[in-house]
Amino acid sequence: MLGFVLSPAPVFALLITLNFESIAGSVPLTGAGTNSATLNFGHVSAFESLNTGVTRTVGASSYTISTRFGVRTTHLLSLLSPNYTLQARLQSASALTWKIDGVTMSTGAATIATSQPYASTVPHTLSFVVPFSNSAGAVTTVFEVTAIAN
Amino acid sequence: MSTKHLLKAALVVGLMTIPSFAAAQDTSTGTLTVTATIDSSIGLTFENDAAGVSLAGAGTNAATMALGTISAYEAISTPGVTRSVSASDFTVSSPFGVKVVKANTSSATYTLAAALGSADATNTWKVNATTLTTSNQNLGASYAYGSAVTHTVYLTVPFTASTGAVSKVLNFTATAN
Repeated sequence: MLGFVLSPAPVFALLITLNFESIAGSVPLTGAGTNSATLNFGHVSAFESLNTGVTRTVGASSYTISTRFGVRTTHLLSLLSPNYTLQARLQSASALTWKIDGVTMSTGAATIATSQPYASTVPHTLSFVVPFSNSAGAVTTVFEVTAIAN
Repeated sequence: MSTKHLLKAALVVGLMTIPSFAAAQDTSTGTLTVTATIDSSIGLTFENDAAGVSLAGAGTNAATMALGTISAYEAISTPGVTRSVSASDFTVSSPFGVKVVKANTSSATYTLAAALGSADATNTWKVNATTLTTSNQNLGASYAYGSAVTHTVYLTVPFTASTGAVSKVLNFTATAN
């Protein structure tokens, strides 16, 4: 009995779950509905056509590619937490500028949104800036996205 | 210690412990892998030339040059239109700019070609000194990126041509070298 009361941490750790979801009209995620998903923009360029769900704005010396993805977070005991804060970071530094909801990403955690509701898919905008001077080629970036119960 | 005492002790410990766990920050983390392939590309826009007809759609890749009312001998009121008259036809012309921008490529120059969107059995169309057909005609092979290059479009109308509206699509293609 004492042992049960003193070690509930693993139970609490399971109270909150985060999954990535596809958003209609945006790039579909591979692994949607899980906490480990992949978003493939496909071929991107400043002036050629793009895949469905990918949007672009072209500036004088760079262009920005963007799409949306969803985050769905649940909490088993909503009485303990009315909402959550969403943070994200890059797992490793990138030569390109990445943003989620306009917040520039780095390897340090940055707050994307606060007071996010549980049990509903919240869309977020993911974008990256490609300078015209950047070399062509493949790009892979991994984001760690964390929901923190408030 | 009796069972009753054990339960009481557990209850006391539990009451003292639970609030601290409830206050602890509860988190969940996921990983989102993002992939893309950056391709090289170039973009072409038509630009106004200070000495030419003002383009509708300047700064885009689909512009319109309206020469207005033209004739062999009447005054031409459209600013930027120049006319020359020969024995059997007259030619109106206007300069315009072509700007090509490159992205994610090491290409230093581009080649420019132009073609008529459809054949013209009556009039003759030229860009610079090159007569256009429905096949691409090379206008130059080493243009620099990033700034507008002036070209001139010429429309030659035979005196034998009927009066009326003339409309022609000129397609321009820039190719990275």
